[in-house]
Amino acid sequence: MKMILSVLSIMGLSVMLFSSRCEADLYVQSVRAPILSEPSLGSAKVAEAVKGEAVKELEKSGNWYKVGYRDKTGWISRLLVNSNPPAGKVSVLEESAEKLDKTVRKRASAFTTAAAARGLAEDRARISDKFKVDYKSVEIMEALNIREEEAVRFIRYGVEK
Amino acid sequence: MRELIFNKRLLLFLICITSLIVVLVNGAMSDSAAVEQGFRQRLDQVANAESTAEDVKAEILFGRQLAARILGRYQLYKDDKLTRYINLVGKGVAQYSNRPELVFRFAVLDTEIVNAFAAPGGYIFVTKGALKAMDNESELAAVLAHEIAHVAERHIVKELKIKGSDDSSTAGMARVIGGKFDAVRVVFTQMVDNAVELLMEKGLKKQDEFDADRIGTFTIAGAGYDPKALYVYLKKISTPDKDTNIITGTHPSFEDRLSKLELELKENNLTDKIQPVVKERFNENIKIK
Repeated sequence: MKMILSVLSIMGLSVMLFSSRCEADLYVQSVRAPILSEPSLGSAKVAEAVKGEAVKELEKSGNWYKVGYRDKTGWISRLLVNSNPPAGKVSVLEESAEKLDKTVRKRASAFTTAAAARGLAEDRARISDKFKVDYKSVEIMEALNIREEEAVRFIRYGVEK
Repeated sequence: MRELIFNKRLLLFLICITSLIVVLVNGAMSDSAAVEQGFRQRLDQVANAESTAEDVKAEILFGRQLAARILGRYQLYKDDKLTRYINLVGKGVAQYSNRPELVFRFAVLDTEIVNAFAAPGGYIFVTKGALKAMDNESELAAVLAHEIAHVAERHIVKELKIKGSDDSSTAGMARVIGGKFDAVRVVFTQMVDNAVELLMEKGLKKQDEFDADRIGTFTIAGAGYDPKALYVYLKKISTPDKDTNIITGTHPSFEDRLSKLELELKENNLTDKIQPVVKERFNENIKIK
């Protein structure tokens, strides 16, 4: 009797566990993601989720998901969510820094060094002379570092003024 | 002893039944979910679905090569204050899109043509000519958001039809970049050259441009800017005076873009949505001779 009860409990638990997969989690990718009353950008905002938070997918309609977020229900653009949590920054630097061959010359920009480590430095890549290349200017672009939090604050200061 | 054997048989029987029920329940519930998942994967474009860090690294390195060629054709316009401003707006807007793993970088090209370009991996360019045609920060945000959308949706990568064995667009690129032979380098350089032609001469697919218009508009609306900004800017540059030099060869006709955008604004109740254009700060920062 005890054995039967145990097995029945396991059966019930398994069914419950697997059935919970139907309401999938979606993860917010953008810094902020408005959850709206209707599947339309112009509709009223019922909540705002932030990057990394999970919302429960309830329904799908065109480019919108109906989701559950905390105690609210609303619509979120599929452009702002993904079935995986947001990835951390991907850099071409760390791995290359470790694998730098001794023969690779250190260059002003770590990016150029990283590219060189993969054999993609401008001198070796110029197998085609079809287009002129300017890596110095690319390095200038890459040298400017602005924190994303600062950029978001900059935007919000401008639009909320 | 017989009781023990009986219990074991019963246990085995119940375990089998459990497994069967679990499989059936899961299967029944996931039939529609599987269709849904398939639809979502098609809709999510190649990259958003399960892209690895290696895929993204390949994208960045490829985009960097393309960026060097864009800058080889049009020189970098060097103005620290202006460049910083463009990067603050561009990076800020990029946070309202869906590529949190990328570092977006922005530069101004020293040319009077009215255009903007995006290289994979987040290298974005806007011309002096385009900046001169803008009236406020929301228009700048809109143009940058359009380019960010090209990167977010991996338009160039997909259009180059680089396929790996797992059918991921960037897996093939990762293999090429990771390759150790000169023959592979030739393939890679050819890919980059093709991308330059696509960007500078032929233009991306019309649908990709329409999508970038739509996604760019939604992005700036989400960031708090005037949702009509891209529409207003495109309408403005579609009626050039004799001093502007507009290249439309790389984009669909303005008429098509404007009519589609007008429809999107209407369908999303954004036509009458009032949000700031941010003019003052734009005028303080954009001073181009």
